[in-house]
Amino acid sequence: MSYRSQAEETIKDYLEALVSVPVYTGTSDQVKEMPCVVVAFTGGTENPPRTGNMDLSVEISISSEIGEEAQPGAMATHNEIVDAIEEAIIYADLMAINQTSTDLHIFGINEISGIERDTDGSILTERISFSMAAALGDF
Amino acid sequence: MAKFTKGTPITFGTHTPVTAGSANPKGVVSLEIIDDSSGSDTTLFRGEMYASEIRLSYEADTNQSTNGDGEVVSHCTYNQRKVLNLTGVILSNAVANSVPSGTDATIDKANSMFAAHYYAGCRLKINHHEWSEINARDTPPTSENNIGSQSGGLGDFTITSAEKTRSSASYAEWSISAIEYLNVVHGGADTTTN
Repeated sequence: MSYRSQAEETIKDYLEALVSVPVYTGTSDQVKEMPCVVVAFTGGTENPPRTGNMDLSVEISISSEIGEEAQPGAMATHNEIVDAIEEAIIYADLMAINQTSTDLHIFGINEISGIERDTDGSILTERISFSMAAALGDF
Repeated sequence: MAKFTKGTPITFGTHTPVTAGSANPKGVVSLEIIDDSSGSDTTLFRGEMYASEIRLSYEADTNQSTNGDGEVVSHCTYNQRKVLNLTGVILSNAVANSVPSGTDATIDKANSMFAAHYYAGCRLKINHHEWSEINARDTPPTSENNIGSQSGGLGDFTITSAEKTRSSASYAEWSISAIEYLNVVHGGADTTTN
């Protein structure tokens, strides 16, 4: 399994336990139903070289359909999901992944940014990005 | 099809990764730190560093004599020495000969390696088979990722200062300075004793 897939799956497992909507990975070929959360590995740099440790960049996006054709209360549901993800990434200890995962070890969080809001027609998407020093395995 | 040969061999990085017999796939430098103050050798650290920088300087003290015009007419160089500065991250070294001991490839083991007790005045032995000036003269140490050891090294260093740094959002590092005084023979009547 690639670095991308293993990292995405681990973070997906962590978030799935915290929200009641589908969580997808960025490489998933599943049809995404909204509201949903998407975990996407956006890049990485090995650091230090040849150690197998990577500085990973990950983007978490929360997408919902809002507007006249949306389900009643869609905005409130969206906000609840954003709250839960924000707490899981920013306020809760993301390093808790190390307690349960044997596939990804997080050494530390380098930077967290967001939440950025973007609208595309009736689709509202909010994104949190973070970078972390990590390695595949259970250390 | 014609093949081009274009390029120039140049020394690169702190250590070339080696996957052959003397395997060193990560290109690490093995270190051993020895306390010999009691008359016998006690190893305080035997592990490995992924070095971000290895810097070797040749230094000496000098004296000049001048004539009445203030012109230098004689120049003397003495206390010739090598000064080594080594900076990098310390790995967990999950092998049986590790000091501190332990064969676990874990953060806890890496933490214990990082926190190994030693001090200025200890001897420093290095295994760096590509660089004879620093490779230990006396049995270069081996480690988890650097299992080969080659003789013929010229290094015999004593630690003069060491710094361990943990900083926010980055890997913890060691920075060691070590010194080795040299017997320099210029030929003629000059010998290692003078």
